[in-house]
Amino acid sequence: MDIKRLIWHGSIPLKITLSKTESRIWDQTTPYYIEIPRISYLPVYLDLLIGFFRTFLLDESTASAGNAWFSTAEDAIPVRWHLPIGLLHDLHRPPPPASSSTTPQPWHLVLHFTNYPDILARRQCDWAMRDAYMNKLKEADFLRCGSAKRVMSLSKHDSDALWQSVVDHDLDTFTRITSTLLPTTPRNLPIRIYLPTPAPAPPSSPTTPTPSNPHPSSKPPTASVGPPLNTVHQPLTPLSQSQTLNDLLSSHFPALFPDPAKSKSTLQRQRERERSNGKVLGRAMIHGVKIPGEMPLVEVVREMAGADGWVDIVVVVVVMT
Amino acid sequence: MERIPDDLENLNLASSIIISNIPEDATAALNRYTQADTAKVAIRFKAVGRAPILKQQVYKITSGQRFQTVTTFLRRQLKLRPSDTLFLYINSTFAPSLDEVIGNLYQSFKVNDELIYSSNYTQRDLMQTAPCPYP
Repeated sequence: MDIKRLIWHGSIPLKITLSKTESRIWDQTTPYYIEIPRISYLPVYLDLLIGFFRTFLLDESTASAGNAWFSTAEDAIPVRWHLPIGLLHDLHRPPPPASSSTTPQPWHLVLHFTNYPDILARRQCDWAMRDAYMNKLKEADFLRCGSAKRVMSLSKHDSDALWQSVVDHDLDTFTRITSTLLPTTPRNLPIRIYLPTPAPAPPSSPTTPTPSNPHPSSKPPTASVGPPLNTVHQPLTPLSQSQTLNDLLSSHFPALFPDPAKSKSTLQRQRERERSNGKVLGRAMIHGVKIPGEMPLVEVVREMAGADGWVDIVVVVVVMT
Repeated sequence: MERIPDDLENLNLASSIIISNIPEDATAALNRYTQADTAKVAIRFKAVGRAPILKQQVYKITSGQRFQTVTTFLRRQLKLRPSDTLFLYINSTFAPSLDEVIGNLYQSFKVNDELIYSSNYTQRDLMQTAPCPYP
């Protein structure tokens, strides 16, 4: 199986329960178990879930796709519906850096129909998800070609069929339509990098960053709360065919991804630091898999882009011991 | 050039995710890269269709802000009611999601050192026939 096919068929097992405050029978509602393709989106499955949970609801009139939102069962965090489910999973449940042999448990999400949180974008109509998807696609096209005319000149039939192929998980149709979208030599690459973000400094303190001080005095760096997602686009520089994933990451985040070429000169210093407090390093994960840094970026995008044309890189931090 | 005021609440748009397993030492390394960018960038608004033309078309905004700050600001400027729908497209092409960082959009899509938004809006009575707003 080629990489594209493997990615397309990757899936996330989910356990979905109804918010107990909205259920007639508190926490006794039967959970719904479903396995969703990584490249798909939660709103696609709402009709199914509404049909299943409707009769459990205290107030059945709230059961509409526009009201529905999800939160993580573990820490009650609203889940952003417009991101692919695989990416959401990797952001909320970062895979362990070392391969562990434990059996993966389904990811537990809670479905709500009331108190829609302000921090989530509203889905004002039925086709909001499709619209969000098409916008992401156009954005990626704009980066690759300098305009979105390839996506915008898709026929009505093809652009409908493209979204439908994501909904129906139909790789053949998807490949047929998207094959016209990819230029042989892209100008830029649609890549997003997601960094876990530790707790922000309190607003009263001066904003000068103190990277040398691992223990900000005012706030203990324990359970880090904060905007976890820092998205960084591939910068608009002339793209060389040989640029690798490591080149990209070490130019953006040299402390997390030291440049192997430079590390020789500072090897001594590095060794000392490693001995003293354990080195913090980043690991790049795409679709939940650790990607070798020497892989050329052009290939990463060609083989590993999601259904929206973007490559989402989730950075996981590890402390070397 | 006038500035779009920072929306501090928006900085926390995604603040609800807790990464509990960040190792202590990683906090310092990550802080280096995750400080909100305080540099200012220029954005230009272009009115399309029925949208009224703004008196001032170019504004400065902090690049660490989220896209939602722009939509909130523009709604206020145009005195839109909550029922009115505002459409904002970058380079007349696509609507970014509300949580995209302005600095990223600017780096990727600027034209002549300005990020160009075209705006259009519709009133509630037009909602039935209007294309779906996102988000």
